[in-house]
Amino acid sequence: MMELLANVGLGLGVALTPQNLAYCFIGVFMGMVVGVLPGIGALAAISMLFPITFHLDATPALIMLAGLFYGTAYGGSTTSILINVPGQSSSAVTALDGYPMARQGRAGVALFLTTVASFIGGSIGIILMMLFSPVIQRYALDFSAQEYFALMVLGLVGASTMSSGSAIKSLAMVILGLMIGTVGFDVFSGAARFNFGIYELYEGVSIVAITMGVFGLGEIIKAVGEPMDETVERRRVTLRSMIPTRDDMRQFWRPTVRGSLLGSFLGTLPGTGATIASYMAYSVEVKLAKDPSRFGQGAIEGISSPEAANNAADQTAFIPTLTLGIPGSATMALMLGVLMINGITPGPQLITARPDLFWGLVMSFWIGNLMLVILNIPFIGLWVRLLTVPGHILYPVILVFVCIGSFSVNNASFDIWIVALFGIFGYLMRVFDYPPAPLILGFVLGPLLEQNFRRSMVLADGNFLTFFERPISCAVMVATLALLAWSAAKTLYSSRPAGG
Amino acid sequence: MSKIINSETLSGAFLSLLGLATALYANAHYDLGTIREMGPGMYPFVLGLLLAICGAIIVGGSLVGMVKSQTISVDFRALFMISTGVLAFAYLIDVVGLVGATFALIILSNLAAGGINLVRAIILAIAMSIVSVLIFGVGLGIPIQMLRWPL
Repeated sequence: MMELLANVGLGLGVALTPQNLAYCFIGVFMGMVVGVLPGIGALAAISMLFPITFHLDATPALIMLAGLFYGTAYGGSTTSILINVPGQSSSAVTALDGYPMARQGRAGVALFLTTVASFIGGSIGIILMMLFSPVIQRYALDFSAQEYFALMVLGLVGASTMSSGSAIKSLAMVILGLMIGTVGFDVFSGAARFNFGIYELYEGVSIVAITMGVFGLGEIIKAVGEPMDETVERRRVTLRSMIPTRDDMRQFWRPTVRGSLLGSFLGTLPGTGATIASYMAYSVEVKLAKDPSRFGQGAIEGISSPEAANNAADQTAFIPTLTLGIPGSATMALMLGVLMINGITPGPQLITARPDLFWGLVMSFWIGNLMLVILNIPFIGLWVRLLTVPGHILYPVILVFVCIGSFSVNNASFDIWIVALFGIFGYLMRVFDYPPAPLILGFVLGPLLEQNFRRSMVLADGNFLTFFERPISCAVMVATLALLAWSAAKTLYSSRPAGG
Repeated sequence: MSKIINSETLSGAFLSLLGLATALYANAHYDLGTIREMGPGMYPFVLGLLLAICGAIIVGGSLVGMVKSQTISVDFRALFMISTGVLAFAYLIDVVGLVGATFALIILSNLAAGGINLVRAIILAIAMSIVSVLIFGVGLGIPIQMLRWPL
């Protein structure tokens, strides 16, 4: 307990420095903006800010990107409630009951309660992270290459089979990402691989170029082709209209706590991020309700539980990333990327080797969540106005940022060429309905996966069964195989014609 | 769309070929080594084969009718204009500097969406150049030249 308090103090000391406070603010502010804007996801925004992190230390860089990440969940619900278009996929469920509330003239109450639910969800997620991370980390210090390999495979398979869409396409993208990750020097032999004689590729494909291309550029090309929704109703939301009734509050607490706990759990698993958490939280509330018909008509439970769940999941997603060095989503993979760029090896030694970074980041979550609560409510008018920024201004601005950002990393225009290449590829992926997130996850994890695989084979003398002979890695491998089998069975079953 | 040539079979076949090409290239150029002491070629070789298998499953799934293919619509205009804009930016930033490169990118991306307004593009290009110099040049200390004269 004393140790935890000491860590909290250390973290606060780091998070409260003016520089880190400023980056936290930039992050959460950008997160709100991106969250409000439909069509631009957290990943696209993170990839836009990513080049900046090259010029920062790891701690402020992570604080900023993390703020952007959890900030989007706050902003996303605003758009869902006010115009019935989710700003983020994780807030899509909130529109089901949030928009009906707005039409009943209760937009203020809905916005206030989702903000409070978001804060509670985020807080519970952070508390769990503070309590469990040191425990997991201590346990993980005994892991050997086999365990790491098994956990990474589970992470990659989980991320592709648990997410929506076709599992085999996600798996193919994971493998393609792993393949792109092999470009550059082989750490074991020093041999240069797949550079095709191009000097710039000796160091491998830059993580900035691939994320900016696949997420930034690819998404913009797709968005430009689609007409923007121009009918935004301007709703006036006054502070007075935000005060919930006693009845509202009675219906608010239990779903919020349930959503927070469910979200916290799902956030730690690979593949099940905030979006799945919010959908599951909603369906749990519908099942538990005495009168399920109220849902879809503006039920308080329908907005508070999903919003608590998605924020909690956003926070707990950091647990496996920072304690094991194994990201469960593309966003978390980018967080790992920030660490690696700064020469910090992700893994269980992170918390003990860099307690300032870990606890500083955790404490910045509190500060960022507080900032979001304060930002969200008074500025709702501003957020609504943001929705009326026309595409012909918004998209060029983003494109310029993508180009300058990728140029700035090495001061080299070669990086922009790679961005363009991956942008075209990213667009085609979207056209052919291939998910881009697994590609990035595979790309970041690729070199680590190879290292641990080859090390395991050396340790076990080339015996593949070694992964099943050690208890932890065996359990993880069995879970992975079960996931694959489940996903294959699901695909086969769902493709059967109805009644057949 | 045709039963045999559709979005699924096309993309799956492409991935299969890409995987096979990678595996063959790795086998031809790099030492595979043994399972115990793997060479630099082994891991990409295995990945290439795995990708080829995934691609084959995607093709097969479509051929037996398990997956419905979607109608694909590629917006060639947006794709061409924006990628040209980005490439123009990459080329011009070394030749005429930031303002010119930004201007070209904004013009081309405006063409992608349809309408073009020259005055607006100029204002936006100058404003964006100033903002980027403030963020990347002043804020982060990266030397980016606003204007450059090709000689």
